[in-house]
Amino acid sequence: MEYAFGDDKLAVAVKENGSELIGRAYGAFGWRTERVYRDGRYSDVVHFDFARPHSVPCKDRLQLLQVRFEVGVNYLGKAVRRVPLRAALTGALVALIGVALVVYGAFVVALSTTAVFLSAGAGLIGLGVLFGALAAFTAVKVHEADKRKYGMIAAVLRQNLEQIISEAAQITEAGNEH
Amino acid sequence: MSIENKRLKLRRDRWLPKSPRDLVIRLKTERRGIGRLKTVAILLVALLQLALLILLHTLVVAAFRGYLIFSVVMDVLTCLYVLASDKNSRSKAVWIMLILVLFPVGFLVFFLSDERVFFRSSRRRYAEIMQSSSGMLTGCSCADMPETTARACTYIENVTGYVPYKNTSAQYFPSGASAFDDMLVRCAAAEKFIFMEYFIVAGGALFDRLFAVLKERAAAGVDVRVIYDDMGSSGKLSGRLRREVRAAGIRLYAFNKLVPMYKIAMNYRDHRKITVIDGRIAYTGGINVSDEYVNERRLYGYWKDNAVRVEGDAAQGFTLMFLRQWEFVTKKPFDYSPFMYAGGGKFPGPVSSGDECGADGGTFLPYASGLEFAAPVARDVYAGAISQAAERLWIMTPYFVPDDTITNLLASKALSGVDVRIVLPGVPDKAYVYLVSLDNADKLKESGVKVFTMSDAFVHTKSVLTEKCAIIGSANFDLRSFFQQYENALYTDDAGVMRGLERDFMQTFPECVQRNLRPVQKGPLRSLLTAVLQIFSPLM
Repeated sequence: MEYAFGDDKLAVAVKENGSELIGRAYGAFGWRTERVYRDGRYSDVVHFDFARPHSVPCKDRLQLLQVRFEVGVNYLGKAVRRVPLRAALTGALVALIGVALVVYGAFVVALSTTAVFLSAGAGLIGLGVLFGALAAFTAVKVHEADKRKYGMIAAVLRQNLEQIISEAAQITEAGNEH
Repeated sequence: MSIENKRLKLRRDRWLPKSPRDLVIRLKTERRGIGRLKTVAILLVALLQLALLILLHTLVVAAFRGYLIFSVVMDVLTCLYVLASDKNSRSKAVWIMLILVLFPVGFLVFFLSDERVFFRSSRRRYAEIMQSSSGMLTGCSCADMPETTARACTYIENVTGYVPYKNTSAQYFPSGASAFDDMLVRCAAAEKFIFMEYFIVAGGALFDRLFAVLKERAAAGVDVRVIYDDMGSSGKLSGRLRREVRAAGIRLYAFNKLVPMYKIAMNYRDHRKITVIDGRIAYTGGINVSDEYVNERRLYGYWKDNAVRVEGDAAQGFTLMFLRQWEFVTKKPFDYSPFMYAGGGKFPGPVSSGDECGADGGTFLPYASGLEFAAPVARDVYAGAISQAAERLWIMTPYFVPDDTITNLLASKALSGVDVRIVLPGVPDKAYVYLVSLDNADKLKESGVKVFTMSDAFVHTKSVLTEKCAIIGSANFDLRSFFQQYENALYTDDAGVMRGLERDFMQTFPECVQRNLRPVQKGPLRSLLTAVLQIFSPLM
């Protein structure tokens, strides 16, 4: 019995904003697109069905590059979401202290019997408002810092991704020539 | 672009929500952990039984004060018994701690877990199998080998009965994909028998390809037999697939079936990876029959593995390994001789000796390790190779939880100027073992051992390369592989295999991060967690 390998199959779900890059990259990894269709459940998800001859030259290297590409692209996606998320979380934490101070101040004002407590309550409310402003300021600063940090990482990553695609394309082209 | 899901087709695109996932790309073959549910459930039932036993025992202690004194005496005697036993030092320490912590039922838990009591019948059966098949192999003489190989040969022959061979060609595969592609082609050409013994046999693309070949060969009259480990394949090989395999005329047996009982034998798994074709070709390495091993399923990044094919007399050793395990799982003695290939084209009959042993080329020494032998063979062969290394000692392993013998040897080799390098995964499969593995490897850095982790990859290769020999097989550098599992490997000084493995290492190093070059910061929480996990390292 002679053994003949069938094509390898790969099914991938992709965020729509990355679909162009992914189509190009998987092409470089030697995959040909068999079918593209929308998810039906989520508006921003597109499905790709790929196929590739089972025996391709330097397959192990191509597979490693493909994993590196997938890890890199997914990290980029996470980083994009992480920037506003971290800022919002930090801001919310500081704002929470502000809210607690306002509530405590209002409580003191409501139950105060003397001017001292009344002014202390008002002071607490004022401090709470100040914390609210501080929360907004912190969120903006964290957002700026993260944007810078992840922007730099993203730039390096994008460069790496292009290098990966280029190396994969060279391998695939060399294989096709053979 | 169309919407393929018919149920969702009617929904308007603009009303659809956005995906809550962070991932830009999601491979639909990704799978995590669900298959282990059965194993976890069985483990929980077994622990429940143990807890019930402890509760009953405690009630007896509460009812009869005199019994408390008896428990104290028994705990002390058990500790002495553990100290005097031939367990490794780490296991002794853990057991003594457990006996004291679990007072007054510590001694009871220990004796329920003692393999000398509750694994006795299996040991007896193994002894019978080993005895009845002891004269099957007649390879080359150890005396004619280079000194390092001769030492390994003598040890393996004395302890296990497996013998060295020449008259063999070999091919090294740096990945599971290349190994299985080659194996499929060779299986398709099988004429007499195909034997496969794997820790994991899982449904998927690889299984489908393999099954198609095995089915066709079985229909053509080839004797096809498969052993899989019931824990390793738990949740991965469905009942439907097993029925299909058996219906195709393939003989399929599970090693040590999982049962919901507290039974120490459940801990002893068949971790071997062997394929034998017609007694002339054999494969071994780190690979299992599952899609992640050929990178057609993504579990922990890129899956780095390896395998080696031997063609010639050395396949005999693997044939015997399989047949012995087959007799153990089927519980039916049978005649091995029809499966034992003879060198020079004779079939059946005892393997050749004499002329073929003088042939050029390297020596091939297939060997098994496990509870059928009194000594921890896998550990001892590794230790022997390490102790003989004078220039380089490169190790690739998914887990690094060795005992003191290996740890001290590695440290002393590095201190004496040998180039000691350990390659570990960059992505863990089990976070707790990874933490301990990194901790153990990092401790060796102070002695000059270079520790590498392969980025975006899970390294599943289990290999050692020195300037004198290569070992490729199923045994990890951990205490489970050394003391509790059935393992197998190939020891060789063949230049071709050594070059292949060396090239593999050389291509892997640039893909790694060298941990020596960057400071490792460990917080107090991680240090505490690692210390606790180290206690349980004999179980990992």
